[in-house]
Amino acid sequence: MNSFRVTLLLSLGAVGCAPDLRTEFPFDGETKDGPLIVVTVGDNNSRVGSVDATSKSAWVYFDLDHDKELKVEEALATNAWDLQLQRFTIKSNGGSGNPSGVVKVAVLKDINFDSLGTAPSSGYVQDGDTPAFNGPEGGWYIYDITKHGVNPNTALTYVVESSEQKFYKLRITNYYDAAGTAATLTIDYAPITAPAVLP
Amino acid sequence: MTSSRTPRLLEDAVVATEVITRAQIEQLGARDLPQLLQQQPGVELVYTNRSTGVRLQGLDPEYTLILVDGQRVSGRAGASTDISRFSLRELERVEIVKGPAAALYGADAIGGVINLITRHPQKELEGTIRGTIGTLLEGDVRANVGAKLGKFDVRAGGGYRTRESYDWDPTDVATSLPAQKRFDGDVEVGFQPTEAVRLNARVGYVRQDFVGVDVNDTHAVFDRRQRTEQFDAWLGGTAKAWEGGTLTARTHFGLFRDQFQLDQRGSRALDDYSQGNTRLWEGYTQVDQQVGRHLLTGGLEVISETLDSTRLSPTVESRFRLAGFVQDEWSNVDKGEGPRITIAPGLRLDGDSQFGFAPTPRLAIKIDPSPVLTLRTSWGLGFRPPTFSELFLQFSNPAIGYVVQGNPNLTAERSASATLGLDYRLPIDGWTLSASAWHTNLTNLINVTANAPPNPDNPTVFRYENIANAYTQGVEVSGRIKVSKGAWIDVGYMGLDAWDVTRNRPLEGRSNHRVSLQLTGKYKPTGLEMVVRGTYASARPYYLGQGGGGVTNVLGFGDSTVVYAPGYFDLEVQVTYTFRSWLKVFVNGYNLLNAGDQSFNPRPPRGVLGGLQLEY
Repeated sequence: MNSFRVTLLLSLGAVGCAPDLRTEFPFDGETKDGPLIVVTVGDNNSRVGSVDATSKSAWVYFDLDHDKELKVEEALATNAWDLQLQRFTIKSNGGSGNPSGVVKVAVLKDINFDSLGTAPSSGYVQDGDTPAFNGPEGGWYIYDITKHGVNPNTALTYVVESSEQKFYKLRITNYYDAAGTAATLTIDYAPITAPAVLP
Repeated sequence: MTSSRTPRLLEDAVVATEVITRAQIEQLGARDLPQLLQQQPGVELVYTNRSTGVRLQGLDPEYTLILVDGQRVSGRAGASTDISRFSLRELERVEIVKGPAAALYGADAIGGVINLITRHPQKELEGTIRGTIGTLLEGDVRANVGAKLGKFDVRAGGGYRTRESYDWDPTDVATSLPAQKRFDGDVEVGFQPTEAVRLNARVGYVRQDFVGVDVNDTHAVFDRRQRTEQFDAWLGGTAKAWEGGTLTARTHFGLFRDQFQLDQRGSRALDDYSQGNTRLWEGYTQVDQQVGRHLLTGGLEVISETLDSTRLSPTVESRFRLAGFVQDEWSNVDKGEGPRITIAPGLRLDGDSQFGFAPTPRLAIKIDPSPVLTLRTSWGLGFRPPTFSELFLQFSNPAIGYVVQGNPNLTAERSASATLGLDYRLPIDGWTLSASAWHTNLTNLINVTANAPPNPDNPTVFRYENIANAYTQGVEVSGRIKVSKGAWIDVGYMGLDAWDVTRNRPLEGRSNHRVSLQLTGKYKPTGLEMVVRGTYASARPYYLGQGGGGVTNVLGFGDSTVVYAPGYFDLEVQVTYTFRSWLKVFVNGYNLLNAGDQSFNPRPPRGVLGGLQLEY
C-alpha cells in the first residue's frame, strides 16, 4: 500500500499546481496613469477631447477654456472647470450641481454642427434636478436596450458658455474607445463667436 | 444498477436503465462523453461557451444528475455539470436512467441520472493505448494499464487531448467554441480479501484549459481563458456481511478549481479574473437485505459542500446535507415462475442546512405478464437546490453597470414526475420495441427577475427568485431490428412538449421532434465494423430581446421576439478495422452534414478523426 500512499500524496500535491492564469497569460494593454483628458487641436480651431470617465466613484473635471483636465483639488479651489464627467453623466459647473458656478448650456436640435459659428443668444439653462446634458431633449445619448449600448444622440448639439464666459459648440461622438471600453468618451468641441446679446 | 442502487440484471431493473458498454464505446469511436451521448435517443446536448450539458426528457442540464461510480462530482459550470471533463478512457460503461430518481439519489435527479462506471482489471495483466488525430488539429492519446496481483488489483491510466477552437461566423474574430487542452490521470487499487468483500480506492486528476475569443456589443475584443482542475479521491467497499445482506460504505472527496480570465485587447479597463474552489465531501452507507421476496435497501448519506469564489458575497459559503433513504422491492413470484409483478416503493428525506427538508418518495412498478413483454411505471418527486451562485452571486458588469445579485432566501425547486413504458421482445430473433411516455411538472423554479428595464442612469439589478412553473411531457419510441448476423438497425423517436407555464410559451431551445437512426454492421472474416449514426432534430424556439449582457429570459422585461433555429441533421460514421486481436485502426467522420451555427447550435463542425488502438 506504500505505493498507493505515495500516489495519493502526489495527486493531492498536484491539485492547484496548475499556474494562475494571470501569471501564465499576463493582461495586455496599458494601465492608464496619465491625464484622464487628452485634447487634440485640429483644423479651424476644432478640438477632439478623449475623456476617461470609467471610474464609478470619481468625477473628471474638464476645463474647456484651457483644453485640459483639472484635478479635483484644483477644480474645486479655482472653480475654473466647465464640465464634470462620470460614466454617462455629464454635469456643468452651475445650477444644482454647484450654485457658485456660472456655466450655462443651450441644447440645439437638428442643426449643422460644422456650420454653427455663432452661439445663440437665448435658450441657456443651468443644471437642474437632472443635468442639462442628461435631461433636455432626452439627453446626450440613446440607450440601446437590446445590446446595452450607449449611442450618442447625433441630433443634438450643445453650446456651452464657459466659466470664463466664452462660448463653445460641443457634441459627444462616442461613448467607447477603440478597444470597446465604455465611459471613454470622445467629445468634439470648438470655440465659437459669442452672441451679439449675451444670454 | 443506477436505477435501484443495487446490482441487478438489466432486464430485472424496476426502472428502465439504458447501458452503453465498453464495447459499444469503442465501436462508436467516441472520443469524449459529449460525442458518445449526442446521438443517444432521448438525449440532447447543450453547448455553451463554458460547458457541455445534457438535457434528458426536455429538462435543462441542471436537472440531470451526473455520477461517477454512483457518487456526485464536485464543481459546476453555471448550474450544471460540464460533461466534457469526463474521460472515456477509464469507463467500463455508462448507465442512463430517465425520469425521477431522487428517491435514491436526492438533489438534481429530476430528468434522470447518468452514472459513469469505471473499469476494474479483468486480466492478470492488461493494457490499452489509443491515439487519434483529426480535423481542428485534434489530437488525443490515452493509455490504461491494469494488473491483478493476488488479492489486489491495480489500474492506472492517463490521457492528453488537444483541439483548436472553431468559428461558425468568420466575419468577426470571436470563436464559437474555445480551443481545448486536457490532461487526465487516475490510479485505482482494489483489494478483495475474500469472495464476499471488496475494497477499492481511487484518485484522479483532470485539468482542462479553454481558450476562446469574445467580442461584445461595443466591439471590445476579449481573450477568454478558462482553466479547470478536478481532483477526486474515492474510498469504499462492499461486503456480503451476512446471509442475504450486503453492506456498502463509500466516501468521496472532490476539489474543483475554476479560473476564468477575460483579457480585453488593447486595454485594461474591462479585464476580469475570477477564481472559485468547490470542495465536496460525500459519505454514504447502505444496507441491502433480502427477506423472502422483499429486497430492502436503506442508507444514510452525508454531503458537505463549500465554495469560495471572488464572485460570491460573502466569498466563502458552505452547506451541509444529511439524507436517509429506504426502498422495498417486492415481487409476487420468483423470476421465470409466471406473470410477475414487482413493486418498489421508496422514500428519501434530505435535510439541508440552507433550505430545510425535501422528502422525495417514488413508487415504481414493473409487470412482466409474459417473457416477451415488460411494462413499467413510476411516479416520484424531486428537487433541485439553489446553487451557490444563485444564492450568493455578487456580479457587477464592468462595461454598463448592471448588477446580478444572488438571493440567499431562495428555496429548492420541486418536481413531480410520472413515467410509463413497455418493452416488447418481438417473436423475431433480435427484434425489440420499447415505448415510453412521461410527464414532469416543475414548480418553484428559480428565474432571473429585474427591478426595472435597463437604463444606465439606474443600473438594473437582476435577482433570482422562486417564481416560475413549467412542465415537460413526451413520448419515446425505440426499436432494434436484427437484419442479419452482425447487422442491426436501431431507430428512435422522441416527441416533446416542453412548456413554460409562467410565460405561456414553449421552453427555449427544445426540438419537438427528434428522430435517430443507427446502422451497425460487423463482418468478422474481414475484421471490418461500421456504425452509421444520424439524428434529426426539428426547429427550436429561442427568445430574443430580453435580458442581454449574458442575462437572458428575464421576467419583467416586456415582450420578446421568438426565433426558430432551423432543424438539423447530425450524421456520423465510424469504420473500424481489426488487423489483429491487439490492433485496431479506425476512422470517424462526425457531423458530416456540417450542422450547426454561431447563435443556436455551436457544435463542432464537420470533421474526420483517425487513429489506432493497441490492446494487450
